[in-house]
Amino acid sequence: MSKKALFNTSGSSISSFSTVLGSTLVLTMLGVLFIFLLVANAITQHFRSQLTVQVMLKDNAPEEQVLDLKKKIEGEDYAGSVLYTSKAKAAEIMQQELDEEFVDFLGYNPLPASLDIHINPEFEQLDSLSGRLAALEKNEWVREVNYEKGLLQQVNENIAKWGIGLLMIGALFLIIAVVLIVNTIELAIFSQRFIIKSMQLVGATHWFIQKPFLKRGLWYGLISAIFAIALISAILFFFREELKDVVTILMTGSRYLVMVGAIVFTGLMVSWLATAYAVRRFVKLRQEELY
Amino acid sequence: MENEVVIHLEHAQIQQNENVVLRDVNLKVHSGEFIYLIGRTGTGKSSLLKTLYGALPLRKGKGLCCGYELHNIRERQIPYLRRKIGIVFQSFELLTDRTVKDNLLFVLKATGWTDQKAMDSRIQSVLDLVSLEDKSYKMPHELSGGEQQRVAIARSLLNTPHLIIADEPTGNLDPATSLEILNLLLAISRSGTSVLMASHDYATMQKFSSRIIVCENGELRESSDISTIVSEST
Repeated sequence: MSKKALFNTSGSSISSFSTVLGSTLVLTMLGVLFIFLLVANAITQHFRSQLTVQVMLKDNAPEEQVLDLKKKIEGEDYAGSVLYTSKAKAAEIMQQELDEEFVDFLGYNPLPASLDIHINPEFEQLDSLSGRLAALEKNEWVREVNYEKGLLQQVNENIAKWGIGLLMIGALFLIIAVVLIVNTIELAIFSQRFIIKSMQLVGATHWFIQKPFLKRGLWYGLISAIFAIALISAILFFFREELKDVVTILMTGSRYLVMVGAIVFTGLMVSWLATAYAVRRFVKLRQEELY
Repeated sequence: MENEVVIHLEHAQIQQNENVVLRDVNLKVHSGEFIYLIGRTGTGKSSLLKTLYGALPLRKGKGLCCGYELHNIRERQIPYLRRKIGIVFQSFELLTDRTVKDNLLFVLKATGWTDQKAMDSRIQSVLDLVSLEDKSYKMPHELSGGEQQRVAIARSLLNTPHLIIADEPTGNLDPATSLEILNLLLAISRSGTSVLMASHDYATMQKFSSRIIVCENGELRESSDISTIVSEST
């Protein structure tokens, strides 16, 4: 598509500008929300990775059975890493911490062997964890299972609360985006409604008429997405001190690229859908309805 | 092609939404015929033409236009019906955002042409026919009314139509230019394409007598004498 066709078709440079501007602002809003989601997800994962379950073993548990149990737990989807601490190792650690030969003093080692389970941060069904740990507690070599029920419950509640909240805000933003983009594109196409009718009168099919508009819609979507990414990146750059944690989280792994991809995909998809809807409306109009 | 029936309406009812405009319309048009369609404003001329090119549905009666059954036509068939009809309007209906050549090119591309050389050659030949061979690079607003109408006629000829429907093509033109346009349409009909022309321009019609169809009192009737109609209308 030529530059002229893109920006100055039928003197519609103003409506092209307003379409791109409107789409850019909406995509920027969606981008900010997406960053929020990414940060919230990173924080949730951090909390999850802090969750540790300690499985205290009975003193008479044979090491072979304990290692079998460790292997079994490692096979569970909720388990990240599982660390086995024998009675002797536990005493050694305790002695180092207390700087005192407490085993000699007591005459026996009161500490049990244990398995420390780090919960897999990717594990989603935290609410089912209590039940599964209760089942583990029934194992004949397990004395008790310790974990911070309060923390687990809090993480569960927060995930549910934030998840629903963010989902609702996301859906609302998406609806606003679609409505705004449909409106701006409809306004842009409104000025070309008679041209669309002329095209129909010479025997052009609906698809043939829609094609250039859809192509242009995709261009606008792409340009708007690029502007939105530039705007968000500029905000993150200029406020890098104030948004230090957000920038750090965003620059970890491929999160920034995921955000860029999500904005480009949303821009293209929303523009395509909005353009298709708007053009279809005008293509279906009867001649007398154009006035 | 000489005696081929291009339009055949049997007991057709022409209506705009729920309002019946013309009742029990029976009409047969053969290839190469030139027909004037006359009648006062609001008597149903445009509605009849719209029904023929699929802009209004034919809900009652039977109709055949360029091989398509109007009473059975599906929406997706309408573009293909229109490719067999050239439509010329009083207001030209050119694509104002592109040059004359691009207007014509658009029609060819929209109707399935792909060979650039063949398209260029076809555009050149229709522009020659309407004597606008040197105006292909102009934008519509840079042309006079008569020239714009000739572009519209050139556009209607691109796909060698069976029928040209002209809805008051001289309505916006001065008498001399009107005569030129009428001459052009007559020449086209002599080459075998039927022309159905709605008009109020009785003065021009008197110069070239032809078959006349009158829309009056919700009916369609044939008339043989333009002078009587002119005297009745004055």
